[in-house]
Amino acid sequence: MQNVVFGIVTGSILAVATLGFALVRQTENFLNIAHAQMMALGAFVGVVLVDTYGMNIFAAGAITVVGLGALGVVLAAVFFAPVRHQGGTVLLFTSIGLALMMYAAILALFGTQARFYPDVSGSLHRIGGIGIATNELVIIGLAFGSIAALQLFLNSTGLGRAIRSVASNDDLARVRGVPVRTVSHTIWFISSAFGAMAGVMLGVLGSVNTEIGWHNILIVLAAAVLGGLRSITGVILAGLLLGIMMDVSALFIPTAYRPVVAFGVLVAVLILRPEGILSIQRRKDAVAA
Amino acid sequence: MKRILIGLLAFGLIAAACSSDDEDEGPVKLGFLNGQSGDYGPWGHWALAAAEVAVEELNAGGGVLGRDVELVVEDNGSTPEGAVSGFAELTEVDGIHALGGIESDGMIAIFETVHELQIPTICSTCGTTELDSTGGDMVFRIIPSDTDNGIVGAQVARDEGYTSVAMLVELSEGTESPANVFKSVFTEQMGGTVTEDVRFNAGETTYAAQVAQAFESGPDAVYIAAGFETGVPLLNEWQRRGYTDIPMIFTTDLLSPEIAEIVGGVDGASAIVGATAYDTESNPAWDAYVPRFEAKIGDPPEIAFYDAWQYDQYIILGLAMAAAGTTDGAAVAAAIPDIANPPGVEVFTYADGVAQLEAGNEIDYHGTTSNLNLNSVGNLLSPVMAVIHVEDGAWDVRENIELDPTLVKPS
Repeated sequence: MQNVVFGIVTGSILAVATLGFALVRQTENFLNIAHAQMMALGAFVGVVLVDTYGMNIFAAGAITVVGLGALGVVLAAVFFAPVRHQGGTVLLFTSIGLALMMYAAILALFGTQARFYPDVSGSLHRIGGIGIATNELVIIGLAFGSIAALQLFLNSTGLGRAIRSVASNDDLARVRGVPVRTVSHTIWFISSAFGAMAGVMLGVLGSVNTEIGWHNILIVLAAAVLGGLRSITGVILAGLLLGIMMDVSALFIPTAYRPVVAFGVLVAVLILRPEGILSIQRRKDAVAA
Repeated sequence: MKRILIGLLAFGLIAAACSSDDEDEGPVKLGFLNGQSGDYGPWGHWALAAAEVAVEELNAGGGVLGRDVELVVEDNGSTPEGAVSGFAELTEVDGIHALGGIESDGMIAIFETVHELQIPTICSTCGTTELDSTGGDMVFRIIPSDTDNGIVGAQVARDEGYTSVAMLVELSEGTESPANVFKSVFTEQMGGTVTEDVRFNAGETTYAAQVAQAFESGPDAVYIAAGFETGVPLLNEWQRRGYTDIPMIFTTDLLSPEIAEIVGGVDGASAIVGATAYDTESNPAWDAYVPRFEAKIGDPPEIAFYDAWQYDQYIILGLAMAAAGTTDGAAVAAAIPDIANPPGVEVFTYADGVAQLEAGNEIDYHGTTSNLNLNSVGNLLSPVMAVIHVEDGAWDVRENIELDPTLVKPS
């Protein structure tokens, strides 16, 4: 049971990271590989604010999330908007190029030395023999609070509904007068902010190093595909499922094989229940027909 | 036209000749390929300072073969990839004559190339068991092998009275190498048991599951073989989960001030390392080195921070070049065992060594870390070992020990 708790913590971070990734995939129609570098950048900016400038972890996290959300909007306008009309493949390769540029910038700005958030774990709470630290509770709470807020925003506001209409059919949304540019900016802000938040959470639990983005992109991709890239609920469940599977698997197989477990689950789901991917196409085909 | 061509040809030949002369008469370039960042980054500051102290001593002693000595520094990021690209830069762009500073993973990555290019290389911080039988030709090691480190770790566990241990081992050459020796010696030669052997990759999101698996398996102690970047989050997890009453045995990779601070900051926590140490007792080389290092960096050398080995390697290279009378790679490599081993007048500084060589005597250099006598595969014959533990938030040598001769290297 203790490992299930570890898995919920891991899965919560994964859900936050994957949600930002899936949002862009759903609305901009490409896999944004640079998303993982936004996570890395978030981890570094956060640790610099805390460690160098002595900021409170929550204030540093908030500044990081908002600042990198804005940076995401700028990067999308500079790199993705000009090639958007050329389709998903060009956008995919543009995102790979942007990921490499961001990686180089991280190396140049922060160096290759690992950094660590000051220990902000707080006390350990024991519930029925299961231990959970304060910072883990905060991470779970923040993750689900943010996801719930996003759900509320998408379902209850005009801009949220506009995002959903673009996700469903952007051509139709444009014809019907949906402010596509505003929607795009909002999507990039939310996606980048969620990426940065996941980065800060990763840094708080572990260490901050330049490889943190590359280490996590495949797991994020796996969670996104597993969740079907179509619904917030699907992404949350996929993140939690992968997190729990990876941490519970430590009881049975060497932990070095955690990524193998993640992709084993992914392959199994794709073979046995491929709706996760196909449903997007089906919905679009249905709309197009 | 013919005259112009002949003139150009002559000019080219003269230029080539001048260029060749420049290579012989320019500074002797000693490469320092080291993890100034990454896992070995915490030691980088001391390592570089010690290398600079050595080069200053070489230059103060009249240089090598009458030429100035230049230290050419490349950061390998503590990765094999960084070692390969750094070595290419040092050889192809900088034109180094010899190399030092490299660690295990990087050494393995460039081992073949070092031999192809005939660059005499001293491994000052690599314990990999790969070098237990493959060196001695162009590559020499002046620090104990991970085989020695694994054996001394098991020896410490036995002497502390531990009969069962759990193992937390990062998957990398430098950490698995001593851990595998430790496990073999502890279980097969001492009759101990390993309650859990947890191997993990660096860069995991968290190490909660791994730490719980090891510490909750009911061991007398937990053996941790991990790099610094992994060690800090691992120990944060150890502290967070309240396993602080279970003693820990570390490998030398965790002998950093930050790690000592984390362990020292927890009441009742205990961490111990069986590791190589400096040769500080009645050793003129050590006595001469300490004030120069202190003047350079503002602090005295700290135990097992690898700095003194960085110093020793460049003194050896300088003396080998002086003994060989050339910077030619093959000749210098052949001279290294000659100046490090008996017979010869025992010398403790570069200047004394050169003076003896000029007087026509053979020399036996005794460094700051040991007598540096090498066997036929370029490994230390008698490393100095010690038991080091955390005391008031810093590493402290409890006692020097000798490797138990009854414990043998696992086959």
